[in-house]
Amino acid sequence: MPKVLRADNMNKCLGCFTCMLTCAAVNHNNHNLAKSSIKVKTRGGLQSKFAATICVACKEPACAEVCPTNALVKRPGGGVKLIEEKCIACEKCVSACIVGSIHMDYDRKIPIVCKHCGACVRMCPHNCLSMEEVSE
Amino acid sequence: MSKMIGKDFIRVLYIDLTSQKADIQERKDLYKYLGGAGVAAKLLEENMKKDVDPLHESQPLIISIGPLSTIFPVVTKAVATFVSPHTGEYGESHAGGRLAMAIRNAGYDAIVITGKAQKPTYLVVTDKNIEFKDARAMWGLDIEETGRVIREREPGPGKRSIIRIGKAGENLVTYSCVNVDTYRHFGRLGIGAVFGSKNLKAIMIMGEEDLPIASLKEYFKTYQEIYKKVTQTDAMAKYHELGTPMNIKVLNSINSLPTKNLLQSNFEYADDISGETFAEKNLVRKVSCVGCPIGCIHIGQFRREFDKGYEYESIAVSYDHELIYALGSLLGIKTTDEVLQIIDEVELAGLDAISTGVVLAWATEALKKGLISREDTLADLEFGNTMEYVKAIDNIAERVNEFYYTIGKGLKEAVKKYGGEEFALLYGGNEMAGYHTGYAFALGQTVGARHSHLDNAGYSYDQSAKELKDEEIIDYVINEEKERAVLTSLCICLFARKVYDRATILKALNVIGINWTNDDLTRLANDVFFTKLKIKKELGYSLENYKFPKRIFETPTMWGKMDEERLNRLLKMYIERVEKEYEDWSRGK
Amino acid sequence: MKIGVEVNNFFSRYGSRIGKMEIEIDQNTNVEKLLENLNIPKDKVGFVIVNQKRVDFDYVLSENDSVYITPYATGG
Repeated sequence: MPKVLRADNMNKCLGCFTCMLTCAAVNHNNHNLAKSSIKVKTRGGLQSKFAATICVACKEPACAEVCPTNALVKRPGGGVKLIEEKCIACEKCVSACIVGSIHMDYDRKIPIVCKHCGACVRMCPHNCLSMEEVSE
Repeated sequence: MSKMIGKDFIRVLYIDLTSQKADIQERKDLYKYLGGAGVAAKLLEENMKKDVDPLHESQPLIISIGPLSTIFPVVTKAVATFVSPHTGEYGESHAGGRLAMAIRNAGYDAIVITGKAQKPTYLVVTDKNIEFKDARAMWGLDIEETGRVIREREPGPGKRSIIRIGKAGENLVTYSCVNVDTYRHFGRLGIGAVFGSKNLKAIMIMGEEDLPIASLKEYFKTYQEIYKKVTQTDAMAKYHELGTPMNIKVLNSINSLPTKNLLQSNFEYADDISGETFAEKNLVRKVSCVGCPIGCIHIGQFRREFDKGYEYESIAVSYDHELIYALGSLLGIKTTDEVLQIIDEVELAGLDAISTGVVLAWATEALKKGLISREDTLADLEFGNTMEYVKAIDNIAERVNEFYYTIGKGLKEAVKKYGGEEFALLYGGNEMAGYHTGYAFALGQTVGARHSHLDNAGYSYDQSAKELKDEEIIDYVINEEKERAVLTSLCICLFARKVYDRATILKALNVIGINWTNDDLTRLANDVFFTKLKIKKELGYSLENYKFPKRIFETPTMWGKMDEERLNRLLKMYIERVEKEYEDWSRGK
Repeated sequence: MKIGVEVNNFFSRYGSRIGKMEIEIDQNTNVEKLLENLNIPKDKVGFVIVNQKRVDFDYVLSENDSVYITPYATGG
């Protein structure tokens, strides 16, 4: 069964950003966590708890709907897969994503889209993230 | 333009606040100092002005990171250097939080700030811009408000670092600090005043610099190996569990917990303010610096009744051993809530916790002994009297009268005017840290380059030695400080010193293309150790005729009372050894 | 014979007995033996305090001794 990323235990988050550093390195070959798909920040200053902006694996992804060139294709279980060669960097997917999970990589001129690869989950030191099995 | 890691130069951003201009230089000559303390010390050496007041606008402020910053676990620190207004000589301070990540992502290795802004200013430094922004409306705001205003005005939540001063820094208190991302600090030696003297209220840093990885597979393999050592061995577990507050009970049980201005070395209420009690009553969460999976920042929460009619507010502050000591046992404070209350006041004002506590403890005794009066203190300073200390802290930050103005320059200056040097807990001109363990600690904080217990951790030797031997103490203090010069040039958090042994350091460096050897690291250790000494000498520092405060000999350590003659002899031995090595090093250059 | 022992919570990760307790020991039990009984690894111990004084591992315990077992204090 396919799996999708969940961030259900953010109350425990330490703000170490290991998930972001991992995603940027493993998926985008970059040391800058600005390239990470998962984005952790506080709910309002460091006195408040942390929140994770992640791809919530929509069964009907709005980002794929607005893409003019079919560069975003539905993946089993929810969410999308990016086909880089078809992307024209129009940025429509960025605003279409209601939870703000997609942002642009201006160096490569493509959107950064979660692959639900689970690398962030494996590296989180405090069990804040998980991969959940879902139906197709 | 992409900035490859492992390049052979240090990218330095120079900002001049007077002309509002910046310059960028790629310094190949600084590469041999690697980063952190090494690079920051060299940049201080070349930019500082001798025979000029530390707070003069021509003096520089430097912040540096290293090649491993953020990309390996627990390499979380940024190192700042400056001419200290507190001691008049070498100033160095370390801070975690998000700063190192932000500087790296903005594409810089080091930042040098000179000059003075015409009016209160905050800097915004990103990979794409450098802006000088109007901070006039923020002048006078506390640390928390300042952070909030900048957070709301500027973009980049979650990716930026905001460092700022409070009233104490604006008013040039010589032990004012710079708050880094709410829970961390450039704490000691008066860097807050350096900011204040430059009309610099805050700096926000962030960036989206493209930082491609040269060899992902090797890099990530090494990353995971180190990560495993950090999270799965017990090398660092204690920092996450109770954190350093576990020291309170330990030190108390061996008569090494400075209490009531060191009138005692154990505290009858130690159990009530122990790390265990804080965890039980107040701990609500743990937070990390960016890049560290441990999470050693312990946040304690307390309820404060601010008015009749069941009016409560909740306050959350970070607490650590040094704060529970300086703002707790040293002042005779008996409950965790009260300690947190005092910490909160110190935090908002932007003061160094250790120095503030030691100054207040001295003032408490000085008042009792009649060296100062109630007219001076405007508060009934008495051990255990929390609310009076809270008042005094605000008075220090605001420098409300001549007395507070004077003690706002630290105990070194206070005793010149009011006497009481016998019970002024100073080591090398800086207020004492929280360990009354013995000769190695006393010597170590005195001779350490930045007069910190962390320069060489003498308290570690005092505890683990079977016997205190003179030669061994000297050896330990020197060699440990040299090893830490390597760790701090790489900006590795000292809590991970056992994880980052020489072999691990070299592996991490090699995997990002810096092919150094063990000899290179030893060379670096000596270069940094002696460069700092050179700077200190140039700024007029000398330990000749140094006098230790009598109080440290009157109260027993874990080894019984220290003997003044022996400590003086140790100091003499240290100076002789180091001067000889310094000569050799100077000639070798 | 009975003694009072407090073991710092730090040792819980080694499966040691921790906390405050009263325990029975044989005559001529030394500190080293006590540590073994409590499953406390010797090399992780900082100090053993008996009746508020530091003692070595070969110290022999007496009836009603009050013992505190703690790791070292480390940097902050």
